[in-house]
Amino acid sequence: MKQPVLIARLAGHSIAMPTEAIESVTAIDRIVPVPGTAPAIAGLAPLRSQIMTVIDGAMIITGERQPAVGEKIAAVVRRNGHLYALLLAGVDDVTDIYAEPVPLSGGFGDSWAGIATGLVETEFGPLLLVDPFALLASLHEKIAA
Amino acid sequence: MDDLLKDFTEETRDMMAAIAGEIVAWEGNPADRDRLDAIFRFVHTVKGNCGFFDLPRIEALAHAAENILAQARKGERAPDAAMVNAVLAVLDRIVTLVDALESGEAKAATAGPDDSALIAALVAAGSAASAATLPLTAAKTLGDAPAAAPAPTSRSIRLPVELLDSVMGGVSDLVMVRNELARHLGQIDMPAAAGTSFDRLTATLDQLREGIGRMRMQRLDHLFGPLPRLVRDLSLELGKDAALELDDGQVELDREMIELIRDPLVHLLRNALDHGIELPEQRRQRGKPPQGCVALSARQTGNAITIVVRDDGRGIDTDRLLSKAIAAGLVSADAADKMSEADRLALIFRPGLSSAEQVTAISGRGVGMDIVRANVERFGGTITIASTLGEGTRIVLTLPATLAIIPALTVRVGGQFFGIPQSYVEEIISKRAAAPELTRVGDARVLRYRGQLLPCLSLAAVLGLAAESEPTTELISGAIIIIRLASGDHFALAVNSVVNHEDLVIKALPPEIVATNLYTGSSLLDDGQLVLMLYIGGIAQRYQLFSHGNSSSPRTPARAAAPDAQAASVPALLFVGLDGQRRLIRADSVARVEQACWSAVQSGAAGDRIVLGAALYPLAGPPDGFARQGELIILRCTDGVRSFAYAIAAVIDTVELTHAVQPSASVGAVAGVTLFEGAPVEFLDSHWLFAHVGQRINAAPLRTCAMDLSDGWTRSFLVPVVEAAGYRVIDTDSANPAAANGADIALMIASADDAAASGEPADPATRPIQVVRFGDAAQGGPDGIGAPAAQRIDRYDRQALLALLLAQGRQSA
Repeated sequence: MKQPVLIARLAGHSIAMPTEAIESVTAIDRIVPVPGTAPAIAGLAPLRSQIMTVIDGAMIITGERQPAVGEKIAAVVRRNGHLYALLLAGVDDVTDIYAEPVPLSGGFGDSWAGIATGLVETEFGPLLLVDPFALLASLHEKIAA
Repeated sequence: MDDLLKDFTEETRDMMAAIAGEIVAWEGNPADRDRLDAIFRFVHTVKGNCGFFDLPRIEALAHAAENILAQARKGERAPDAAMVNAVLAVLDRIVTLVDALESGEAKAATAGPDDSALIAALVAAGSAASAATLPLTAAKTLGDAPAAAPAPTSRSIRLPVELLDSVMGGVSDLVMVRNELARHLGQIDMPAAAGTSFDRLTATLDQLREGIGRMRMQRLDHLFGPLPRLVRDLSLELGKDAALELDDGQVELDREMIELIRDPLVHLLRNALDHGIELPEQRRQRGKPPQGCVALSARQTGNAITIVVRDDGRGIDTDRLLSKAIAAGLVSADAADKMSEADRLALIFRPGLSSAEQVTAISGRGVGMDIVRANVERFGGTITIASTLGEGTRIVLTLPATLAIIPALTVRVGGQFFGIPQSYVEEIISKRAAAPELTRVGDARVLRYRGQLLPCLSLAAVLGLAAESEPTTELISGAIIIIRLASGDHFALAVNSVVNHEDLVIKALPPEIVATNLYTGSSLLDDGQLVLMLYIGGIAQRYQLFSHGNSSSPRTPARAAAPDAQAASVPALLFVGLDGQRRLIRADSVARVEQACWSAVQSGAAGDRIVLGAALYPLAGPPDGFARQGELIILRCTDGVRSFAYAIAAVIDTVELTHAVQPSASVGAVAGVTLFEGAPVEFLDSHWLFAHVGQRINAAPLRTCAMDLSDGWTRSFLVPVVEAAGYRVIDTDSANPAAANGADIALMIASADDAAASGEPADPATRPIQVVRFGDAAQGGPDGIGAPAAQRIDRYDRQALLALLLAQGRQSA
């Protein structure tokens, strides 16, 4: 089974994300903060005439803001008709993986539980496969709690 | 094949929704041939389509229903309640099967539980009743009347909503690009020709935008269609008898909005049936007709839609509501004494309070009106309630016509832009113009505004951009906006600066942001600046700015004065007439504002008429000698009985009139003059216009007049006069006049055959006509022919005939 994945950096790790979940990868130059929201919501940003909600994935995973340096790059996903931009520390490549993700005995640590689907073997070595929708779902849970 | 099947399921469902109302009407009067025909057409179409798709199960059901209905049409079987129920059961099963078909359970649509019981019930219903068959003679002639033909529908196509959305998105993108381009072009020295092209692009784009806006609109009857059935089923379940009156006012609403108000509206209907309408015997005891009435009507005024839900039930017992609120600890006994009737009624919107004596499966669980209000306010609407104990309840929803575009005030706080819906903004006070009187009380601030003390919030503090107690810059140099909440309460909101008034195209926010209860949407300004639309209702709730029973707030002394001013105010529409004069008309007489072309106006001896939609309206408003070219704006006015169109040049605004009207010396289209914004403005006399210009709306239940249509003179000259008076004309069955379902016939007109015998000239052309009045049941019923009510009128005595027709109409109405 061949599956294309995006190799990116998130919360200090190299990760792989299935490209079929991602609408596009875009650079964001200005984020308008939304006062009163959860800290993991960095704000809103326009994408042509549409408006994206910018999500700080690092905040969800580690509880620490992604350092705001340089141009911001994000993976755009659509959930229930709304556009979300997942902030990434960097994007390295798009490659194919050929095997199903496998679980790791002992897990990947609490902060990645529910977000990482499993371990995949890539040409960049073994990486965590991250489901962007699982990331959004965990944000949703945090807000509901 | 799949696409075809999808079309079939969609078409079936649409048809079903369209005839849902017919079905209930048919149940009310099984002999109604028009309804019977409509339902027959439905099952017939379904049957035909099923044959094509090889769906034997649905086909068998449709076939069985078709058979029974065909027999009823031929008069072989009398439609009665048992038959209606059996047919309804079959129709329900068909819908279930079609739903299953669409969700891919193809097997369920061909196999599954047996339908034979349903079909057997259908056959049994028909034969059991056939013993007491009534011939459908009256129905037969009705079927031939041209009025029975369905109104021709305009050509339309079906589009998936996603496609529509993507086209709208594309146009929005285009507008953004145009604006970007405009900025770039502004920086360079542009040749004139390029400028012209750019202007043309702008104009075209604006047109496109407007068209797209209209694509979002949907007639309200889509929403109203399934409601008669809902009311019927609920009434049965509750053991009540209620009729639903629907009047969609031909209003169009944003289709997203239609989805959003569906639940609140259904909830209000359930409430009306469950708590409002009494059981039939209770109604009889109170001297009301045993059948209750729930009415739903919609009107458009300017950019707002008003939907009224009214019932003639028992009303809301505010005393009981209050004692419940006190028991629940929502209101203190002290506060209760000071509450006005309106405040008490408003308790119904408090969470955790229900006026129902007992909780039923249908409503009264204490969640309800608060949710309804929250939902309505969330998208910029308001809800008000009025009730008279023992007489009924009236709930008014006011909604923006489109969700997508909201007129708003943009303000600036902490370097960011926020939008406030214009409907909430009462006044803007600039600090530079006059120093407002702000006082610090504890950690809060109050503003003295027109003699009232209002709580004053800092928007920066509300949004957590500054601490509440800190003196923020906005309080020193910014602006203060006086906000008027839907409940009538006021508060002040301090901002850094007011940027602009503009129409914002609102985009939905994701649930993660909606959860803050601070925002309703976001919008991009033409320059790409992002604006967050504030949820004023949510903010007011958070700071407990709604006044009900909350008498410790500093607003109380001022509120006492407010009701008087409100009681006298009349909502009115301010417009510019075709003669250029500003005028006012009562807002509740205007059903709709629309554009039309002068080419739709016909002038004749009886005055001007205009074609709007598929109907003809008398037209008032054009001054003599007005150049009748191009487009005009029409106020379509109705009082429920009569309607007319009023031509104007432009609508200015909906306003509240507080000054008294100085009556004019003579009675006419203008009732008088009132002061508005310091200038005298003419106020139209709606009553006079309805009386002198308005024409009767052809309401559904016409009175019937039986006439001898074999007589040429009657057919050609008398029938039009009778029809114009609002009667439906049927042929007299001279052999058996009573058989034509006599109870429905209000009048019978015949040539006076005894004329010759009494020695008058035998020439038929000069014989008087004889009018026989059929009273209602109390006056003798169908046997009343030849009763003293018979009257002879000279055939050219139009006055006498009309007087009689009108008198009879009033009696039977």
